[in-house]
Amino acid sequence: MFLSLLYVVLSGIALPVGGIQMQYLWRNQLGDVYSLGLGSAACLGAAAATMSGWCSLTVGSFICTLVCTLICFFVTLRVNTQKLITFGILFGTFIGSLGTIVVTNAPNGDLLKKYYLWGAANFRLEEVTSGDIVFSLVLFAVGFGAALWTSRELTRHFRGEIELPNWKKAVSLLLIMFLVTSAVSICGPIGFISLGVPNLSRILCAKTDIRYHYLISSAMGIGLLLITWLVVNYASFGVYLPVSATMAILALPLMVLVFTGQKQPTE
Amino acid sequence: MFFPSILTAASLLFAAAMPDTLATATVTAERGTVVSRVDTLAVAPTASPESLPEILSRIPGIQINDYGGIAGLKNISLRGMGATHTAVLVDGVRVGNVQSGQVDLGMLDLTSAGAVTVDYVNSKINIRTARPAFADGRNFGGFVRLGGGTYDTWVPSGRLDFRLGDGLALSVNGAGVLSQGNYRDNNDIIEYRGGIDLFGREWNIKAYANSSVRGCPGSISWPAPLDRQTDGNYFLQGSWSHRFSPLYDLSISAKGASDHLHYYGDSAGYVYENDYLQREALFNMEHGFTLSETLRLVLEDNLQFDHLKTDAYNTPTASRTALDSKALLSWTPGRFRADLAALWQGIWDKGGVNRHVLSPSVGLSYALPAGFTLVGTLRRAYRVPMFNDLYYAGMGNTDLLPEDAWMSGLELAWTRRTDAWQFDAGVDGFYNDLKNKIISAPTADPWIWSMFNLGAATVKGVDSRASVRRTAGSATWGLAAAWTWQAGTAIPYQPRHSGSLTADLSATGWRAAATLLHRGVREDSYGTQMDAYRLLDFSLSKEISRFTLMLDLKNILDSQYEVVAGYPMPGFHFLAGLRVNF
Repeated sequence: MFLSLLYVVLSGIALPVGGIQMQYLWRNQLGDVYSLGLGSAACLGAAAATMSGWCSLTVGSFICTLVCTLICFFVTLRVNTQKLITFGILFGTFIGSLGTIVVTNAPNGDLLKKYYLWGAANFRLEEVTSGDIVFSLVLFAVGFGAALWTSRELTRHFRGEIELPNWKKAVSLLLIMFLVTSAVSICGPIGFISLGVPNLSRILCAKTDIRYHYLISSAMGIGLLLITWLVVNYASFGVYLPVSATMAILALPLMVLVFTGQKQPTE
Repeated sequence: MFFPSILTAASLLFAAAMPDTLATATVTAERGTVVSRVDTLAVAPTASPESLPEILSRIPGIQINDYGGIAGLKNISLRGMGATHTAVLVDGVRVGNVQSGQVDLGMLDLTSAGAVTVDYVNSKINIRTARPAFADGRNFGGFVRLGGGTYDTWVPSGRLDFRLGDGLALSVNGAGVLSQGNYRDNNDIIEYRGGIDLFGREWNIKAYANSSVRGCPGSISWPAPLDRQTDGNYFLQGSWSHRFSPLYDLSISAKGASDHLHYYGDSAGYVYENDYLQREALFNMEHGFTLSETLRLVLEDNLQFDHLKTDAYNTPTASRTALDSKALLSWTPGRFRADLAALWQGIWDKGGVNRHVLSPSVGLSYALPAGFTLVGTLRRAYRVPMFNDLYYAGMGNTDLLPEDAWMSGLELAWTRRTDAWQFDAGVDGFYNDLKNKIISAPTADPWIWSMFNLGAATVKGVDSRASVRRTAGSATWGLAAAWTWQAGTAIPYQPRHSGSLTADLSATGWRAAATLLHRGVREDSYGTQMDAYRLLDFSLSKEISRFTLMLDLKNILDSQYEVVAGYPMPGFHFLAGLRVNF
């Protein structure tokens, strides 16, 4: 149980922080850690690992995400942000399609169920080894440390004071992938939190220093994930509720209240 | 944060407006967010280290269980719910004890307390460390104090405050209690405490250590002339809060604690020793959304991990992970106020039973004309068994169910303020319905005891209070009276009638205060009736420049009494002291 809660907290930090980094990197509020197909890549890797049995689901997920990120890394070196986003959408569709083919050709129902339960991301951490845990914690430390290290530069880039060169954007993307994969490879992709929570943070606090949004997004991410985790485990009324979907439903009233409650704050 | 937490937060906000310096320790009794009242219990520090528990005991509905004076365990309970239902917090962060669930007030440094908030609705006592206050142009302040008195008691203490920058201050404090406690055998104590507090504008960090060695004389009927107990308590905690915009504020706190208890027992030649090592980590987070002028939403998560290693249990180690998630909606249209909350608690014991429960609560208040306020509250309180209950060798019962209670209250309060006068009064009825109360009782073999769920228990009562304070120039005086009637089933040590009368006067550097406390007839845990008792205390102090002379006379009537059966309290005793400010 301690481990499950640890990963609820870790995911609550990693995904929103990755999301706000993407938004700052692209100067676009639709930036999301899954925008470049990383979520699809994680699923493809997990599916391939599950169906083939070549490696653990966690390792498969990480390797595939790394490969896709490296492709995006090289694309980032050559194109501008707008083209990169377009590429990401197309690339994500492509990777997702590959994943669909792998899953629909599952050798048996048990493997399909195993894969699905990983993707449903309810923090059960079944078949996760201590090696997986250590590996993901290292990824988290590197990714989060990099987020802090580059915060000043990202803020200035977002404000338009500087323009990050493509190679720096590509390196940032790689480090964001480390942060995101630290959670996703263990718990599966978790939607909403990396897009909705950073946007909520920017509505609630108009300051453009990204460190404020690291803090608010992390706090909200942890809070929302903890509540969601409780609901899916103890108030599901007999229905299997995936964390991603449930969190989006739970957060909806909050989003509505915040959007309609007051004028947006100014910095 | 939920209703409970929200209420606590509101309590803290209220307390923030109160004087929060060492010059006056203010004790505030509250009904939650909706009601904030002061029981005219602002008192100057005295020579006695027991002063704050004694002050708390004058508040209606509060019971301090004292196992024998200066060296004895002191825990606190509200309205008959028991110490395990009462949370003690330091600067808003909970003091944990997964072993017994009871916090010993003796291990906390109360000499540096600036404010104590009592939250009846949520059964919480929050002790706030006094923030340093610097005279104009000064970057340094503090005091040293030495008290001494009966039973070879010495009580040194001191505090140094440093201004490190704009809005940044450091406080270093220490205290000791050295006493032979020789109104009983084997009742001595040597205790040292120290702390470092770093205060920022929106944050504070506290490091704290307590170390004590004491005799454990046992009860009169089962004396333990050779038993000794050694304690070491250490924690590091920090909290931070910030309002990011008119719409949103965030508070975060975290704590790590380590508590070690060693017990040496010698029962008629049978020697035994037990060690308990507790480790605790907790993390709290509170999101506040001010959605409109009348609507506020608060979400809170508290995550806590406890681990205990001991040789006294059926299992060498035990650990618990707990998560509280709360949501509170406050609606304040004009004179009316409604607080609706839901608290979700999950508790997971390694190798044990997992629990989760939803606890709703509601608070309604209406501000009537002429300073009257009507308040009603209803809350569910859920208390899981502690490790001693579950695992203690020979006694623990892993089949125990959690205690489950509904607590309700209805209060009519009145307040009036003028430039010179301050009047407060209130009548508060309460009814607590408790199921599955955990008690120790004999098994089929009368020589073997175990923990059981008792069944149902109820506590009902009325708290009433009235106080007046008059300030004229530099002189101030106050009178306060409190009375509690309480009845119930199977709740030991709760007197049917209890009350207190307090008077204080301050002028030209002199300060005098007297308290008369009455505790009526009550029953011990075996149902045996215990006699009523009355205590009269008097304290006097005189401030001369930077020096303050203090004299505390305790139990002037020399009452021979017991708060807990078998643990006699001291008769008349005194403590005199000198404090030097610099």
